[in-house]
Amino acid sequence: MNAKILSAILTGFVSLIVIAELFPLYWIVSASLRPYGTLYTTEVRLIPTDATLDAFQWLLFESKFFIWLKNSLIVYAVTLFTCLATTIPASYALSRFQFSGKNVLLSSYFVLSQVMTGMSVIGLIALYTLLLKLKLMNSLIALGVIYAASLVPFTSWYLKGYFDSLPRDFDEAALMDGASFFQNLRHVILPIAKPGIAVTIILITVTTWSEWVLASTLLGSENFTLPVGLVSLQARWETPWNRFAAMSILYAVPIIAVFIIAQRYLKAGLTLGGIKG
Amino acid sequence: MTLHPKIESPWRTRKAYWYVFPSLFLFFFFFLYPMVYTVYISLTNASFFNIMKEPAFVGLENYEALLSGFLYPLARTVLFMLTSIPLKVLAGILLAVLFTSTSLKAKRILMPLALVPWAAPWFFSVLIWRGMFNEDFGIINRMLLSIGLPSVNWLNDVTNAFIAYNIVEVYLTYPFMMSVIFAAMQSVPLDLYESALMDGAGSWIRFRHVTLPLIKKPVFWATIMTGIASYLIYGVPFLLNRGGPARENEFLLVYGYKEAFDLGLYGYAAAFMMLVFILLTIAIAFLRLTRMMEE
Repeated sequence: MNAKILSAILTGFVSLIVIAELFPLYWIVSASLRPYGTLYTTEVRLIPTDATLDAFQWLLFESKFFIWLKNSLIVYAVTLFTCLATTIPASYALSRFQFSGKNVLLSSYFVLSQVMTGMSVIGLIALYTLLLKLKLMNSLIALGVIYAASLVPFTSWYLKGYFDSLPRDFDEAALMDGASFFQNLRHVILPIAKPGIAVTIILITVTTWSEWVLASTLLGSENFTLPVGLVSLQARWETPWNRFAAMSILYAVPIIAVFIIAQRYLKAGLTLGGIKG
Repeated sequence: MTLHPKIESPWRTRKAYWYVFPSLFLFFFFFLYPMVYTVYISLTNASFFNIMKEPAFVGLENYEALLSGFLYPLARTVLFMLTSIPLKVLAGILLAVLFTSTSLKAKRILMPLALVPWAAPWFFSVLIWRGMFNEDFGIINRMLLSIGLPSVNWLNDVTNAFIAYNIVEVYLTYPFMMSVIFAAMQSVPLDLYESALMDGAGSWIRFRHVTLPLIKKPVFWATIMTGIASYLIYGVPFLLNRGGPARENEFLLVYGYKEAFDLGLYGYAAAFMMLVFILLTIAIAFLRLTRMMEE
């Protein structure tokens, strides 16, 4: 067969798949730009001729967007700090030290990191009961710490692998010169581990920014994070779709952008970790 | 360190535990302890009404109740696994093969675009799909109408909703499957293809006898990972129509969640979740076993 024709057919076919796959995103953008009522008309309009920014005006001046954003940021800050502060030393130990139980811990972390999303639903009843008894329900800080705990397996496993790839000559030399293990971590490893830690931060960001299951169960309505807020917006039938669309775009665009920019660096880590439950 | 195995390495020290302890504590307290506590709750009559007081110990009563309650959600989940896993794997293989083909142009643009569903927060995508599946204003029905087909009641019909779950699940996970298989295919040496071409092998035969044996292992693992995800599926059915209509499409985690948080039957739901967990553990242990036997 003519190679050019084959190439054109293949490229056309894959382009069609990509267009179909991007269609939901196109649709939500289009919905956000249209007045509420017109969503119910039966015609299919690809380019909205009646575009309006009504929904975005509502979003900026009347909606709870900024309250939910603030709550999300509080949870995120707690998660990021708690997770990194505990897993960086742990990954350092898992990578460099020799101690009994290390291999068991690593393989359990690997298996757990694959099933974490489902496992958090399985353990949710107990978590809910415990938080009730500890009077920690509806606490953004408690939620942040819980997220950090659920990220421990994946983060430890990923960072351990990254630390393994760093040359050991430097730490050996540092220890010879009388540095303590902690000084070695602080002054030798961390400065050269920045790229790996950056990837970890991105993974933590993407995961916490889109967590909805735990947040929707453990938070009251005044403490909703953005994902819970968005879902609640759609659950109430009277909420116009264009408003939901506008808010979800403002919520999702930054995280999609981060992901696409970082995609090159992420692929290896994500392929191994399978972050999506 | 491996250079002088006889000399005691400075890294062989108990100080290691100090570094691991904070993260372990965090994980044990907020994850393992709740799992153990789930076992305790499953042996009580804990419910919405008595949860703040001491629920009474009821032995294995909740587990006996599972005999009637567990079967339907399990059957529904197994059916979902039987449909969604092959779809996800086939979509992944198809796209990976297409992206590996030298005839495909504009790969640098198409590849990142094909990964977008991975980049978008999953629940955000599910909510968009819910809008698109809407019977009245959803774009899918309006497209069907515009080409003269009847509109479909997507989310209020058992079978249609089940199909919708499959569509959304494939949409969400094909980038992962595609990436894993694509990466594996990059490792197939080109001269293998060349010698296959020399022998006059057609592209299907080449795929069957050259590519497939080499990518078998990564595909197998990706299949298990995505299979576990199908077993533990929760967000897609819950957000699309809460496992409805009525309670007909409740997969395991959806059923367990609703028994606990909609009906307040914590004790029973905890027993249910434990059984889900035990089956998963058995499956994982079994898979590791077969893998070890293979090697």
